[in-house]
Amino acid sequence: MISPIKNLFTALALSAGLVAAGGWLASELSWTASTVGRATAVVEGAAPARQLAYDGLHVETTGIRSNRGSIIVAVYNDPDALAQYDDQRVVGYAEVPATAGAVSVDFPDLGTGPYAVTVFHDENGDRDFNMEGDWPLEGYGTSGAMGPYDEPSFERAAVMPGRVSVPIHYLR
Amino acid sequence: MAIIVGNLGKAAMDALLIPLTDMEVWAWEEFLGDWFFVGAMGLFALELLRYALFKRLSWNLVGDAVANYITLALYLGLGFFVYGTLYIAAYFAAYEFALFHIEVNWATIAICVVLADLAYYWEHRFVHRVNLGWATHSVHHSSPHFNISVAYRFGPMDDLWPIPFHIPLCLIGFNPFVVFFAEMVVQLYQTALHTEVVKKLPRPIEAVMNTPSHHRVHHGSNPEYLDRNYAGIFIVWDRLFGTFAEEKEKVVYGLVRPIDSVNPIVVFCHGLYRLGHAVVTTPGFANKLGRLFHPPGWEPEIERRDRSSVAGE
Repeated sequence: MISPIKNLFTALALSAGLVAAGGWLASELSWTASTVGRATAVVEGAAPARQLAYDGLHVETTGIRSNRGSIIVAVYNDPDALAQYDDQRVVGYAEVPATAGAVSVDFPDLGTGPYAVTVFHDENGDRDFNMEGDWPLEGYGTSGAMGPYDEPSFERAAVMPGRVSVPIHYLR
Repeated sequence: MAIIVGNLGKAAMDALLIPLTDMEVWAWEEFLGDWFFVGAMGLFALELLRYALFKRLSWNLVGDAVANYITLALYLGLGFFVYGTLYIAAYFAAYEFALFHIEVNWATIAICVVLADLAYYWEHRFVHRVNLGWATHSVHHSSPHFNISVAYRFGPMDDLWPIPFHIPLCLIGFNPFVVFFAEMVVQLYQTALHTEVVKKLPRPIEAVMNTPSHHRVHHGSNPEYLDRNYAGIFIVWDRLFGTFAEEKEKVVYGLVRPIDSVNPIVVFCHGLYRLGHAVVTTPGFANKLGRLFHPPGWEPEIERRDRSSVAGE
């Protein structure tokens, strides 16, 4: 049995060290690192033989509430562009008439990824995502989002070429 | 076989790492807190039956329990109107300076609970060893009984002192909602220890975890039990930092200076009143400061001299 640490300052210093070590350990326990790392590894390992197998990105937008206006889909390959929702720096962009339920868009020319996908339902047809302060007035969705209040980083929103389904959320 | 185990392990790890949103964590916190309270009421009914069976049920015990739940209401009111805003503002301000980027998932939440338990140890030691903290925490210790209703006996500043001790967790990079959740888990675990129904648990558990036995010691006014067993979930902190005591002789619950009252206002305010009275009646600025920052039982020099001269006569 180790003898207890009676000195207050030693005890506090040890505690601070434990908090720092725990914080560091927690920062390593990342979904981003484990999933995106795995996906990238597969792509890199298989790249020469499998390159031709990619037939782009197929985006299905679900949970559309009405036939009004259009669904606007944007595809990003750059974390910074996604963070700013910069529509000048997208690698894929599509506007399709809205249909209650789901609509699909194909981006056949896209390469190996990873990509992040954002969608919104432009119900009033002004080709703009309307907000009131911080409050979205139109339906929206991002790949990898866990719910309406989740704004995932690029790493977490990242999808590989193939099929991706993005649910739309309406707050109004 | 190894592959199956490996895949299961991977699946479990994935489940632990799936990102959670702030709102999900908050919803879990509300869910746990509310249902735990329902369970605690059930346990209290059981304890009342046990008291009746052993003929220990008294009006004092019932009045004491009623006072406990009234202090809970006062505490929740203060939390809602006063400390809540301070809590949120302080944690989110600290989180701006986060040292690590920590994702929100069950694995990182588990680490945060362990660290919050360590933070709680120091907070708890502080409120016992500094009069400003003791003025509020003595409310919790002022009951001469020991049952689960006592766990809900709170003082007027019980929501204030956790803040400075848990801010480091936000600074290191834990999301404030995760820290709130972790504090709740520590609190709930300790709540469940306020009972005489459980005598001793198996030795390995008593060695590592905080238990009803260890926490009865913490509530004792017996000299060898004073300022012992501050732990929330893990008793290892007390063993590590030299504040552990084993339950041996019968515990006498309550304060060294009992309040002898079940009046909820007296219960809730006695600590602040005693501290305020001591500060006002102590002469000299340095002595007044001493009253605020020294441990309970501290007396300024002049009084010590007065006492010894009286004793010498």
